[in-house]
Amino acid sequence: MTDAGFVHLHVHSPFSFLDGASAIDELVRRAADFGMPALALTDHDNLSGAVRFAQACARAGIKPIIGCELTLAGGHHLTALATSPKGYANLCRIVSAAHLDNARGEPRAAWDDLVRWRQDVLFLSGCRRGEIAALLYQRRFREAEAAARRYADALGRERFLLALEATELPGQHAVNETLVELAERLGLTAVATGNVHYATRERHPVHDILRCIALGVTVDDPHPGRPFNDQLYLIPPGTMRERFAWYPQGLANTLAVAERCQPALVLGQPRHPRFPLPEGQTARELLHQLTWAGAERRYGRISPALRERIQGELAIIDHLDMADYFLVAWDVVQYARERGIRTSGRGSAADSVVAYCLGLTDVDAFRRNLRFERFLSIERGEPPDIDIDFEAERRDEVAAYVYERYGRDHVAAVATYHTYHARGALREVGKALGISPEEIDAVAKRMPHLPADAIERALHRYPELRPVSMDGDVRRRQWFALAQALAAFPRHLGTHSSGLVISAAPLVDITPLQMSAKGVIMSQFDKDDVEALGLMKLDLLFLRMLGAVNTAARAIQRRDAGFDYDRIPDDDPRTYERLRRGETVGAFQLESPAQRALHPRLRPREFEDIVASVALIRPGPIKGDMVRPFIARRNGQEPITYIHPKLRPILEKTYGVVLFQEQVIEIAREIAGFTPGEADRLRRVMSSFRSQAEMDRIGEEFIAKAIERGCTPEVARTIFGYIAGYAGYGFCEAHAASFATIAYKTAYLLEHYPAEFYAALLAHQPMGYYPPNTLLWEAKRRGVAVRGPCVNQSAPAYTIEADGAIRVGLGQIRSLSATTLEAILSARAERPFRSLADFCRRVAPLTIEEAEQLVLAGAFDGLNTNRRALLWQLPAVLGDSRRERELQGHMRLYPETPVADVDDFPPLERDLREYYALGVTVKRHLMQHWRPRLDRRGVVPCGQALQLPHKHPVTAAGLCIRPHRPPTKSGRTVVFLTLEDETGLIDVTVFEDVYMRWGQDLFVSPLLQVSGKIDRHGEGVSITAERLESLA
Amino acid sequence: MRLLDVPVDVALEEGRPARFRWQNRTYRVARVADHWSYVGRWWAGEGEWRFFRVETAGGGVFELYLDVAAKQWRLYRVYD
Repeated sequence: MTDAGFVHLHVHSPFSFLDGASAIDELVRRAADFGMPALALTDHDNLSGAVRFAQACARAGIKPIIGCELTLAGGHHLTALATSPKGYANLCRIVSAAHLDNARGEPRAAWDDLVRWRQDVLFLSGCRRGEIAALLYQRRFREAEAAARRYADALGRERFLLALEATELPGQHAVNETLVELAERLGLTAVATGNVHYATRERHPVHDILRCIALGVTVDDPHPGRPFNDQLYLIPPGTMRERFAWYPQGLANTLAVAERCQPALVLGQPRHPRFPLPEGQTARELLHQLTWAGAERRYGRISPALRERIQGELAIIDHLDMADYFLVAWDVVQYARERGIRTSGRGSAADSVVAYCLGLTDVDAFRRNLRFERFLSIERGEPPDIDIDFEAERRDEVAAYVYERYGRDHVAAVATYHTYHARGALREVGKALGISPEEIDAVAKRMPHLPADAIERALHRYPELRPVSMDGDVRRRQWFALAQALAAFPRHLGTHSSGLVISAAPLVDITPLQMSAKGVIMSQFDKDDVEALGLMKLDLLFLRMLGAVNTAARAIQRRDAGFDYDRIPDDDPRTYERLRRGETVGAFQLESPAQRALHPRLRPREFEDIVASVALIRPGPIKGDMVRPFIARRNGQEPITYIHPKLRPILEKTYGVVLFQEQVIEIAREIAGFTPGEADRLRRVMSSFRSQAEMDRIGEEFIAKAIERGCTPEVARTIFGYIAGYAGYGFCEAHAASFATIAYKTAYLLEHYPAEFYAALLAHQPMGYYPPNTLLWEAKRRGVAVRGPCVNQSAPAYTIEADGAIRVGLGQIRSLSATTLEAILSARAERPFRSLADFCRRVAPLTIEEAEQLVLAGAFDGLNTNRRALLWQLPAVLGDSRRERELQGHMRLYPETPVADVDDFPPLERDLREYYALGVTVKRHLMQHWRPRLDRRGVVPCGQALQLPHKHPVTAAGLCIRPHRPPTKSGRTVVFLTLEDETGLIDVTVFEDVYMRWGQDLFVSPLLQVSGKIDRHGEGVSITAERLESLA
Repeated sequence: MRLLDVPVDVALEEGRPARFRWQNRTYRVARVADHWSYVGRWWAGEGEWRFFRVETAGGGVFELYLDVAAKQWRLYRVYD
């Protein structure tokens, strides 16, 4: 590799949001290929790309220079480069102030901040939008010189450099010559730069499209913000030498700059939080104290083995000095519990007995024999990942507590990079290309949820895209190719929904901060980058089911005071019977069609079976072909064999089948002798699954090492096959166990308290697998009475009435505002409403739309069931009430408008309008309207189909619920969906050939007719489809 | 100033226009005052145009460009 003699100091990555058209890896690799010893990254007003950039440079063997292109108060640009960690901290402060002191989305770096935090930062005068260059392009030479003096005086001559840009713009050469003169006159250094927005010239169209998207214009609209030419690429050193033949010093000066820059970003160094301790106590001491107290509470008697385990864990925690992490988490959970907020720990924390003793999780890692190293190990030395679920509605209270407890300078939300996926890319690129909204809609709607770089493949694979993919059309191909090119580009910075970072040192020394849309301060780094920086991340998650469980528990306690959710017995026979029937719509993690098909085959009879089922229906085990063997062996239909004796102790508890991530790690260690570090690398590759190539590499290592330890090649390959098939999505046992606890208990509630449980599920929507209408009709099928919304009876949310019936809440009604809802409640508190007119008089504000939706939802049925008549009456009644209110009700000016003499809506129209207004229908299921026609055609109701024998031909029809395409072991496409009608639900499986032939309408049509054969497996039933038809 | 956009013959020296022929006259370039690169409507298949603003020996100012893909030189503008 020849020495390039030049370093690019002005470079934008996709983290310049819609202004960078090549991935960081591309840019770094190209710079390395050119022989450049270093590369700078200078995105607009943020450092979000810095960690990935530093990691990419480390991989490529070049030096990363961390920088930023700042937007100044006047709108001018200034490039800043950090020359040390101190410089980086200063840059973080400048960038943070730019964001926090200005309106969100309009960062402006203040002059005073630049001066104040200039130490160890180099400043380049910038591109054409830099103040000095801008003045020179306008030929305002004296002002340009004055400005240059000002910058040099304030920032320091050794710190302020003039940038000569070589991007072939009109007038640029003359400006460059003037800048060199200025540099000589003022004693400043001039450096040659590009203005890099992508790696190669071929990416110019991608850049232009991004700019069009950002500016909201189409390619046919000229705009000064769009690139003038394709010279914004990583210009090769040879070309730079040609362009600066008149001033070679400019190139050499870039090398000098690179020399001055020491590594600014230090990765992998844990930055612990500090827990506020009581007087005279260390974190270590407090942790030990709490752990042993908790152990007594959890276990009663502490056996020698348990004592050894706890001591072992505490020793590792002490050695790594991570007591504070546990205390922080413990404190948060205590706070929640004291306020009656339901919590549940999840993830790898459940591998820790200390965590169990502290009450962070409810999984007994000792009894389950889970390895602590998965959570925390000396070899890895990384901070533990602590994830805690809270009731969704109250999670923010807990987050607010954390901000207060540790101080706003020490807590921030974690960012998330919203990247382009197929649909979004197609829409935005289509718009920029000037394609009609109708055409864009037709294609985008049919595109499945895939990453953008899967567009081309999807067009060939999915039948529902067949009508829109046109091989011959040049314009379409251009559109798809450009959309594809945006794959994985971050489009904007969002807030991670649950992650918080907590630090001992002020956060602004480690990460730039900005304000999120939600109004909380957030880091510019996402969860992976924050971890790489060594910061503690605490995940406070929203779990709607916990809120639903709490609501249900309270409702149950109103009629059964002794009920305690936490004391539900884990061996209730009726619950297991229900599971075996697959009738678990509404139960946490157990309600999807795949789960409901599994249980009749698995025949669960104890808690461990639920842990297994939660872990089984995941892409990992499905692709690894674990499901069938697991079931067969569990039910004694197949002998349990181990192709290697060392597998027995690892896989015994799961009948010889690989089910949990922990087992994969164990296998890697036992069979191939992987060290904990190597095993952890395997875990990371498996759980991120970004690249098949990485998995293959680890595979080769595994097989080689296994053979070294005496395995035959064939056995080694088979064993790795188990692991590889698992890749990506297997659960860890701890996680499966935490979820299984909630899953079982909700199944229990479903069995014993269906009314309260369904009401709670409905009150906490959106959540779960099925739409509200399905849940409501399941409740009805269980014999629970359901009553529609009523202005006199309903609460805002779904409730249970005294006789155990579910009452739909007013909050369900479309377009009903919170203020109007409150007005209804307070007016009603005085006395019930007597009529529509009475309602309109007493409730304000009330728009006509809200009133209409109330009528159509049936909220006035208790007063008058003729909804059409009420609708006709409405404008007059509303008008009268408004006028009366204006006269302050002193005079009843107008006699009560008589009810119109019109017939009510015909039933189908009434129900469709109700469905539109409410999201559900209460009295009749929509499918009832099609029933006579369907009966004539020989189409069978779903409930009846469920009774048919195995292999019986059948045609059924219903609402098409949640069609989806999970990954399968064969890699072929299978679509699962559920058909719902007034008599029940039946699951449908559509295999690839049928899907290819008939699947055009599958993901777009709400009503489907399915013909096929009944498939009975254990106690479960489904239809294997042979033909699909839209009914709509 | 006139916008023309007509094909011309251009002779180069060291990659830059030295002489060009237009309307039966040969012009000698005294100085290249400026040069830049422009990319047209790439979505419609247009490519790079390399511009040169030249001052001729006779005192005229002209803008020439090379349509890179078509390998054709054209006279874009004359400054009267």
